[in-house]
Amino acid sequence: MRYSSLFFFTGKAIKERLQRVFLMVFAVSLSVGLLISMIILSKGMRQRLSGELKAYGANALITSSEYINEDIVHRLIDMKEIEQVLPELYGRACFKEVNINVIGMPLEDMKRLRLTGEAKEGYVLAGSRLAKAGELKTGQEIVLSIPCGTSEQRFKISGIFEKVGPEDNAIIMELKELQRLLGLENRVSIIMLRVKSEFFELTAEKLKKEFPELELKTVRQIARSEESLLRKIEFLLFIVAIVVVIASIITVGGIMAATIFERLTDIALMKTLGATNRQIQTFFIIEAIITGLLGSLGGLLIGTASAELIALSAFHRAVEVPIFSIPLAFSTGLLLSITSAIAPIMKITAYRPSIILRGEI
Amino acid sequence: MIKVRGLKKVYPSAIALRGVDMDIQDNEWVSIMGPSGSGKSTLLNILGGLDYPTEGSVSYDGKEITTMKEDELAVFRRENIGFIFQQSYLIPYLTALENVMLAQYFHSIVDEEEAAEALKKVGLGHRLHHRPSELSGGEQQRVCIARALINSPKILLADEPTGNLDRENTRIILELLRELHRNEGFTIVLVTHDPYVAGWGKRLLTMEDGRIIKDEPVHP
Repeated sequence: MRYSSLFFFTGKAIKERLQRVFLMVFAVSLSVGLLISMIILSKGMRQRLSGELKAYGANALITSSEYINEDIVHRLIDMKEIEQVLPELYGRACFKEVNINVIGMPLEDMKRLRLTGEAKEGYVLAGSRLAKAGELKTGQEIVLSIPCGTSEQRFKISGIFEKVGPEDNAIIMELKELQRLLGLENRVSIIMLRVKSEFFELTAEKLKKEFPELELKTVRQIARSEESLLRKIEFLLFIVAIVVVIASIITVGGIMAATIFERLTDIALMKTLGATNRQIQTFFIIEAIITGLLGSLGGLLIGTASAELIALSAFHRAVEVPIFSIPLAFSTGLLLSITSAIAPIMKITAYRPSIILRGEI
Repeated sequence: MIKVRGLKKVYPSAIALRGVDMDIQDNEWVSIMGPSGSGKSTLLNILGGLDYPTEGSVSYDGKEITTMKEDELAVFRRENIGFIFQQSYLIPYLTALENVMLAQYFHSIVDEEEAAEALKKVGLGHRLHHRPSELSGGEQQRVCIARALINSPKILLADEPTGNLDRENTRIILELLRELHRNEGFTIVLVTHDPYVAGWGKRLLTMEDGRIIKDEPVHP
């Protein structure tokens, strides 16, 4: 009964100041939303990074400013410290007068990367985004000019693949066929390697000596540089989040203080009726909790929606919403609204009712 | 019985009370009259535990209230005292009924029927669900009386309760107070500067410059 009365009177007070309450809820929502969006995005970036590295299964990468002679691939395969060698050739093709990327790789590597379908001669695999844009389906024919400007050729689509990366906008075909079409026989663009971990440093040194004209990057280096970039982005997001939370505390605190101070006489009256400071504080804390809960819910929706929109436009794929973002949103929203309310409530309940009723405040 | 001894109240800019001594018996109706700044409202605030004196004591049936902490005073107020002020001080977004129920909430539990009954007693049975802005000044003051008496206080402290009302509404309010006082037996301490209003009490204290200068019975 007491609780239902408490919520009844609090509900009445909220209803009376609906516009202000909405403003507070909105401020909390924005702040929580930004925080949640940043967390979802940074977690999504991390997942994407580690997912890509895992998909390649490689821990070193050989690149060059020129095309790499394929003979090197055979020499690398013969090295006992190297478990896996994955050469790739990159080229451009025209599909419906649009420039697209073509990746050439050996048939066995397609199987290793668990790509659906087999792109033997006359067949290609289409990336998911390209397939979607071009309305391509497995079993259909695709007409390509490789390279652009040459005569068109028909290929059969043997599968659609999704790697969550730029490859999803490309065509994959057998390496030899692409080399022939591009006139780059015996050439590749990069070679991905999986070096036995116990020989990693030694092999890296050996490769640098043996092929000085080539550039060897360990995936650890790539990962480290990407990790460093990721950390910088996360740090930036963290700083922005802190600034937003502080700004929100000030904004919500300001609105809350104004709301509380405009009820100065009501509070003095409650005191004359025998309300203790704690009873009055409870009224306002309940209001702050309701504001915080509504703001958190709004923030969760805003944050999730904006993170997904950003992820779709930047990564072309939705990101996973971590389950902890729900308790985080609610705890942040509640903390924000309750923290903002505490100072004005404490200040106002410290006044004696006679001072307020005499109009001295 | 209320016992006041050596009560002084000093503000940074003025001395409001310079040593007040008085006794008020149970069921008495005491009017306190005096010019503005004579200290009558300050005295009432201290009697009601809304303010602390600089010096002196106030006791109710032997219980000293000037040494109570703020929350103890709040509990004391809710159990023993009802207030009526010159301004109605009703919560604007609550109806007449809900304003009375709010006083019940702080005291114990909310009883809508009892609150409605209290409003009927003051002649507002037909205005239960009206907000203060929809009530006249006299009606608002009657809601305040119902609210002040809903928890059956022993003492009703009224600070210029008819100060904003015309003569007709003043008479209605005072008649109502007289009837409730007679039926329910609570003590009334009423501050006013109006001799007509002061004349409704049984005893008149006249204050001047922070002191009681005259204590006399009122003859009807």
